Amino acid sequence: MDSGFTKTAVMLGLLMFLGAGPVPWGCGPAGAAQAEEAAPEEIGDEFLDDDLDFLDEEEQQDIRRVADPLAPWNRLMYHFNDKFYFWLLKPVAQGYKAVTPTPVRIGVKNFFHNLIYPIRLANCLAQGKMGAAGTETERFLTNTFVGILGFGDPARDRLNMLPHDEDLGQTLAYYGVGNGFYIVWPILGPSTLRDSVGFVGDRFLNPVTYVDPTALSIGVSAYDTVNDTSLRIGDYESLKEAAVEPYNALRNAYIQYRQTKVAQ
Amino acid sequence: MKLTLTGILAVMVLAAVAGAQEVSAGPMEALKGPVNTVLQILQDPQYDPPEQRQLQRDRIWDVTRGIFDFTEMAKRSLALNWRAFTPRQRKEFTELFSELTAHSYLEQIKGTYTGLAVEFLGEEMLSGDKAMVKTKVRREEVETPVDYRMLQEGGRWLVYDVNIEGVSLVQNYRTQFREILAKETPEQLIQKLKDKLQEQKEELAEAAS
Repeated sequence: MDSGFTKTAVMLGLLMFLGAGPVPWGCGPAGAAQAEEAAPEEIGDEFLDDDLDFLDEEEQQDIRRVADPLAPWNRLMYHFNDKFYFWLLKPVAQGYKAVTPTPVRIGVKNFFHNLIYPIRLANCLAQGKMGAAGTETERFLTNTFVGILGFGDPARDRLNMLPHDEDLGQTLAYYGVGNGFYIVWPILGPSTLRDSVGFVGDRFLNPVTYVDPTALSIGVSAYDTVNDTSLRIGDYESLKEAAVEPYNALRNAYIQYRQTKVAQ
Repeated sequence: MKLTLTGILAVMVLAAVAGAQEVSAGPMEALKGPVNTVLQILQDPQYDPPEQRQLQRDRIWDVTRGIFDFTEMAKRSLALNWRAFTPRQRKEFTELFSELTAHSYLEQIKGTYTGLAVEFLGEEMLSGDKAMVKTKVRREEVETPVDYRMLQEGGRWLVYDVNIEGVSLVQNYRTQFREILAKETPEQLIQKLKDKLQEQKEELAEAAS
């Protein structure tokens, strides 16, 4: 369940699951464009300006659009995930937070991050990022041995070595594979066809996958998720608060976030 | 004579350099003051009681207004649709949109934690009059990269987009507005913004009571 994808899909999902409220796709039909009289005496020049010279610059960024043929399913899942967050995940994370000191929760987060070093290494190598692969290896050794099984992050704190969060979705993108289409998974949250394939592939390099029995493996992943959530309570709420059209806001946020990751 | 000339030249160059610095501090310098003021207001215990929340919001709004170019943001988030708006609608939309963005930006950097810190990492010129200022918001040891896109207008540096963890606010709103305007009129979008702001005000009022 847990992998590099967790750092993206799940974390981002928890971060940004948007939702609740009326289903926005039953919106009314378009009215005719209104011809309205302007009251020029109160309106500054900036509002009379039709010049949109920034469009070229902005259009380039609009490549980040994604096909959404599964929209009805996706919207359903997004409402489900919203409820899942508010009714279950958030209360659990809050309870956990109340009894667990922050340094412990950060240590746990570091531990799980250190554990999926194989995913980052393989994907750095697959993308020919030798420098990054080297840094990841140094980070892994330093944090495992000096940082006590990865609970500490002395590589970052003392040696200023920053992590390279590469995953299979990014590797596929590196070789020119597009997003495919957008898909929202229950509990796991927003993804695309490409990133879902990446998620499954990365699982093979995640030690948690091999924990036996399966129930325990799922439990460990769930704990990782709760721990991460406890450090980010409020983020998802903020995003939801800011959105006019939450489903679209989340979809676009996911695509932009991944695009940035791919570009790094 | 030669010495004097050199001296005058030196004074002139120095004055020019000093003058230039005074007229336009770099984008990062322009941003630091307001961001730090907002942080102070956010962490000021006098606003802790729920009934003080609105006052806190108003004070932060005053600071934010001075550093954001909301018209530019509104324009960019509507993109081509800007042309479908009448000047009066543009004005109304910009006012509502600025209130919404200021509020969301605030919610983003605020979260629910104390011990919030913003680290300024550096600035990068994108063109003659555009720059990007990189910052990192840290709370509870969780770091979030926040980049500001700024443009120079009449010697002042103003923010026209905020990029949080690789997600541009303007682009995010643009996809939302595009989808709404594909089915609805500018007037209906303006009404949606009004409803959204009303909802937020009610939540604040509820928290205060």
